[in-house]
Order: sequence, then structure tokens, then C-alpha cells
Amino acid sequence: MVMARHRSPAGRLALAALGGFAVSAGAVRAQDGAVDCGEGPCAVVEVAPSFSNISLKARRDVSTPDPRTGRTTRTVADVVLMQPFKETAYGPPVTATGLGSIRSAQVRLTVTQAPTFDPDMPVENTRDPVLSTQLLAAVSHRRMPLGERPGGGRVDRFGYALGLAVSYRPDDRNSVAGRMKWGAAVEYRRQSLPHAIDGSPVKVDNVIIRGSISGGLVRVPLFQRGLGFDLSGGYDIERKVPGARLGLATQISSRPMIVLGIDGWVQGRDDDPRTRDKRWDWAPRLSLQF
Amino acid sequence: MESLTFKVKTKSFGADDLVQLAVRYDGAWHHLVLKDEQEGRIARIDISGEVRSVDVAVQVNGPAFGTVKVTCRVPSRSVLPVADFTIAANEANISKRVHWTLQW
Repeated sequence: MVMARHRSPAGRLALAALGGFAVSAGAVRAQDGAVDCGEGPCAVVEVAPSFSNISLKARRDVSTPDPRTGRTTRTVADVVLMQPFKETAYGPPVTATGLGSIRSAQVRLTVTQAPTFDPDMPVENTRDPVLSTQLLAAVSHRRMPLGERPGGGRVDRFGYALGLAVSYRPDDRNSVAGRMKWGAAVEYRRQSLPHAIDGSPVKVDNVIIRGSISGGLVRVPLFQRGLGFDLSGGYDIERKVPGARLGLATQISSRPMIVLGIDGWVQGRDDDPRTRDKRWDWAPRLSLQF
Repeated sequence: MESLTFKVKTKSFGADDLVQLAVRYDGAWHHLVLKDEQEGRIARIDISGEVRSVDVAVQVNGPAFGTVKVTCRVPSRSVLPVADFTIAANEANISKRVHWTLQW
């Protein structure tokens, strides 16, 4: 089992997981924007030195005000397909489930509730805490080395993930936190990885918990746009590794939507030989959306 | 009866961002159901044929980097703009609202 872990891409998966699912929780706004197109099918291209992928998405989306409860509920069902350009050893956690460097298919169900607004009330005085709950199911596929023997070839391996995420925007506009979004997520993963010696499939279970906060900072003079940030921290229970990531991004164009930014992550000590020398990293972010 | 059809186009909106629409005619506000249809997110409301003007309120619980465009097809079949704005990052997660009067 230990050998299998050593042979596994656990470092990358954990790092990705530590920051990844918060995106789909809606907690990491800037990155979420890089994946979500609004309504209907769309294509997103993300480019950075250490990762590249294309996401395709189809969405069903209904918002319903309920006069009895005074709340509006938005229900969104997404199906997302991700195709990497290339395999990378260490990608920062940039995509919705942290499976960005893996071919993956995801189904997300998101239910968001907020008070139905009163059009006659000044917007400054409205109180509209937004609570969002998301269920996620994902299957992934990788082509991995078949054991440690030279010339051992490669083998197809599959995994799946189940997740529950909650995000919340407080209603207190007068505090700093009132303009930020808080998120929490728990994710269970099971992967089938090749055994280090003979390449036979080995089941590896992970549970990852995560918290995040995102919001806006200052206006960027050159582009007259705000600088957004997203900060998340998590803990991989199975590997006993904590981690954190910080993203800064600004949108420089609306049509097409172009987002520039930088992502950085850091993680705790890990006995995985594939990751122990990689305690931190960073990458620029360029997201194009059409 | 006549039918007003609102179309909401958003970019960079997550599944937990909200766009809400309300229309006022005959002195009362009516909140609209925003449905996903093939052409986009659409809300319809039937009004009396004698009505020639309505007030529209759009509220967005927005993200950073979000753009919102709302148009309305009125009984005369012309398409009128209702709202078209961008939410920058330092406006993240605030509500933004636009009031508009449509006449035809």
C-alpha cells in the first residue's frame, strides 16, 4: 500500500484537492469565473505554464421566487467535461475538482437561496445573505506508468469523487466580511492506482476537508477593474498533509472575458518522494472565455 | 393580454450567483421566474393589452468579474435594453440593482 502511494500522483491530487473543490463551491470566485459561463453550453480555455485544459459545460438553470417564504431559489445542474492538453507532474489546484490535469467528467447540482429582493428598498439597505449548497460527483481517467519496471508500459486507471460544499455570503455590509464569500467543503475520493511493483490496481481512499474565503481587494488603475483574491486552506486526512493556496486575479476585458492573475500554493511536509521537494509553487493565470 | 419576454445573458456567473427580476405595473411589483431555455435564461409575464409602460428592477447578487445583460421584447416586438453592466472584483458579492422604465 505504501509502495502504491509512493508511486501514485498523490501529491498532485492532494494539492489540487486542497484548493480545487472550493472552486466548485463557488468560494473561489475568480477561478469559478474561469469555468462557469453563465447559461448554456460553453467552452473555456485556461492557460498557464504548469497546466492547460479545456472545459466544456452544459447547464440547466431555473430561478424561482416563492412568495410564501419570501425567498428565491436557484437550481443549477451542470455537466462538465475536462480535457487536458498535457500531463503535468505538479499542477496548482486550478479547476473545479482538482482533477484538471486528468480527463474527467463531473455532474454538479447547486441549490442557492437568497431573500427575494424588495425593489422599493434602497440597495444599500438590503440584507441578502446567500447560502449555496453543492453536490458533486466526478469520474476521472488517467494513463499511468505500469509499475516501476522499465518499459512496463502504461495503463488506464479510473477514480471517482463525491463532494459536498457550502458557501455563504454574510449580510453584514458594514463589516469587512460582508463583502466576502465563505466556503467549506468535504470531499471523498477513491482512486484506482497502479501498484508500484506489478502495476495491479490498488484502491486509495482520500477524505479532504477545506475552507475558503474570497472577495475583492483594490481597483487596478490600469484596467479600472478590481483585483480579486481567493484564499483556501485544507487538510488531506488520508495523507495527513495540510495545504493552502492564494489566487489574485483581475479581469482586463469583458468581451471576450479575459482574466489575468497569479496562483500560488504551499503544503506541509509529505513523505511522498514525488512531492517532498515540492512544498510550494506558483503559476500565472490566463483565462479566456467566449 | 400581451406578453413581455425578458432575456438575461450573463458571463462568468457561478451556479450560486443570483439574478432577480421584478416588473411593476398597475402599481404592484411582480417577481419573475427565470427559466433556462434554449436561447438563454428567460422570464415571461403576461400583462393587460392596455398597459404601455412598466418599471423593471434587476438585482444581481454578483461575483467578481461578472457581466449582466438584460433585454426585453415588448408587445410591439421591439427589443429594448434593460440593464448591461459589469461587476468588478472589488464589488464582489455585493448586490447591484438597476431600475428601468420600459415604454412601447
